[in-house]
Amino acid sequence: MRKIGLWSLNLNALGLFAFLYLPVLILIVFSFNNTRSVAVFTGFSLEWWSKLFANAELLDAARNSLIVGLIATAASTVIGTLTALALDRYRFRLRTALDANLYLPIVIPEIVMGISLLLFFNQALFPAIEFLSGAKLSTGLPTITIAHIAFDIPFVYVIVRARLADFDRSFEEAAQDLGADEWRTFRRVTLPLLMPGIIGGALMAFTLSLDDYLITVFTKGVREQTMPLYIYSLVRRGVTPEINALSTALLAGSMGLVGLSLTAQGGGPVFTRAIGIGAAAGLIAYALVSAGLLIAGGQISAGALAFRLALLALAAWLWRAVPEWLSDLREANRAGQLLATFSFVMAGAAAFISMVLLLA
Amino acid sequence: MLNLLRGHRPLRLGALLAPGALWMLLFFNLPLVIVLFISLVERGRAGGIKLPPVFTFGNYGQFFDALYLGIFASSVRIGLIVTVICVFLGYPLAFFITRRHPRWRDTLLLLVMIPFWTNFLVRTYALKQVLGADGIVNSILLNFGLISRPLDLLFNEFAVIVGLVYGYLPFAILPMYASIEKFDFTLMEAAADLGANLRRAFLRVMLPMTLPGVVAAFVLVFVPVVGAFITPDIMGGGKVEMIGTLINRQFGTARNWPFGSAISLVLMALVLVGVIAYFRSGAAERERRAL
Repeated sequence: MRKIGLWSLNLNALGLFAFLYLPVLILIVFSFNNTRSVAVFTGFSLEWWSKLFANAELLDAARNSLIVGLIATAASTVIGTLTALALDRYRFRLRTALDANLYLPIVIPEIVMGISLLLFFNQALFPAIEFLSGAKLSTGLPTITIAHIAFDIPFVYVIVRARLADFDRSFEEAAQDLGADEWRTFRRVTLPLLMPGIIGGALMAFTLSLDDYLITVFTKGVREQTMPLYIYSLVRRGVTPEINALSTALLAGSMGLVGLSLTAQGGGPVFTRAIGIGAAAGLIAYALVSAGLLIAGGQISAGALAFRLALLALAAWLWRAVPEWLSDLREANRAGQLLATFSFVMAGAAAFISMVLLLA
Repeated sequence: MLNLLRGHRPLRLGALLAPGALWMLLFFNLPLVIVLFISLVERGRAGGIKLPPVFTFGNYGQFFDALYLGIFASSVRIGLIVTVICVFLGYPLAFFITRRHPRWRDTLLLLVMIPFWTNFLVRTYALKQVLGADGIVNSILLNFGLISRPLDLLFNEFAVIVGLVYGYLPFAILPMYASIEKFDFTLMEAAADLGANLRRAFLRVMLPMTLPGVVAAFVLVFVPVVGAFITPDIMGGGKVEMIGTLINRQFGTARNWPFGSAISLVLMALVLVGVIAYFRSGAAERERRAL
């Protein structure tokens, strides 16, 4: 009896993990198939992958997703962190109501938030603006971005607030006893201690924004589309290995973000700084490569050159940040070093690829 | 910036609070108020709303039409089936994970969490292609001669249920894992010493003590499933109607915004009742501490 119980327990676990992961593995495998079949693997080919990179509509959607995602992440991370600080550090009337209001977008069905924004923009905000100024506005990437910021703020808020709940305020008191003023205390003590939560929240916001279909579809305009909108239209039409290739690329990106987020939330400043330093290194690498290509191609405009020089200015920051980071890295244990290196490489690659996509 | 505001407590609080509070007020609360307003007026002849607005409760009345009540009931039914499957399969898995060696445990937990971070659309598509008429399940069954023509595994309620279980199973496993992990297994030995058999010890000791995790799993799965749109749309192929697809249709082909608004608010009320009951039960607090 006991044996049967144990046996079925193992079988259940095996079955469920297979159920969760086999479809995804099959999806990845068939993105390399050399026929249109998604059931019989007839041979290895990169045909679908090469089609992907030649698909202008797709690249356009990817670029839009990236623009919306980056702006929404930056805005919601700042706003969400400020709100978390306010609700953690101050007692005031309506505090509980405000807290509940910030949880609400997480729990209500996404479709409700989607249609509410659709009605708000088309029935209230745009008519009001037209009435007041005569300007005729319509939905598009800006409205998508506004909506994404609105649903990202609560997630950043919840994650940073959780970090604040574990916060030991005696560190701040010690800093002030040692003569630091409030701003200095905030910048040198509070912010670094909160950083893992802030970066975790930012990565969460970025993932949500890149993945969102339902709210985006109700706030989109006629022309521009984002990656999930594009995929959705393909998936509804049917199954092709090209979608498999696209999905595999997205899965790889998500895995990278999971890795970054876990390292950021689990580890101290060595990992969190690895992300920033990696991203800066990726941007600099892009500036060097693209400037090289531009000069070799003989099409240098002043604006393009100035932009690349501005990116190269990040090197000044790296120059100061890297030695300190490296010495901290040497003190970390082996697992920590591996994770930090992983974060560095991932952030660098992500920054480089993003620049290529945004400016191609 | 903080320097400038030193000593001005209300000013500083205002500066920290204003961006978030205003953004949510303008782009979350106000839109909901507009939904409420539109749900209470008559629809225009060509879609949109009738101008000037005419107040009515008719949109909520329309909801009590047998057709729409049926869709509502079938959404709740699908939601319950999916939730029960997730809890029944997820509980043993959560138990299985807690009994592993710590090194394995973290890896298995990570495997449960990865789906949270992967694109929902991509995961649904992965399942769709496996179940399709020329998908791998059908082609294996055909090859072994177990069936003579492809089974209809897609575009029906079965497909929607499988899709929803696939999508939301991780939501059930995590809270139950958190509860079981804290459970003191020496209590099971104590129960056995006192003469309880395994089944009785489970039902009388372990299950009651891990119930908060089960309740949390129930809410975390049921709430998103009942309002789901993507899974019924893709896996059901337009043949399975749930509340989410019904709402979507009112803003698409049916062009009945007031009715769509009314259903949205009813759905939101249903979800909020579930969530509030959950928080009232105190399960949320216990779970937050566990995670």
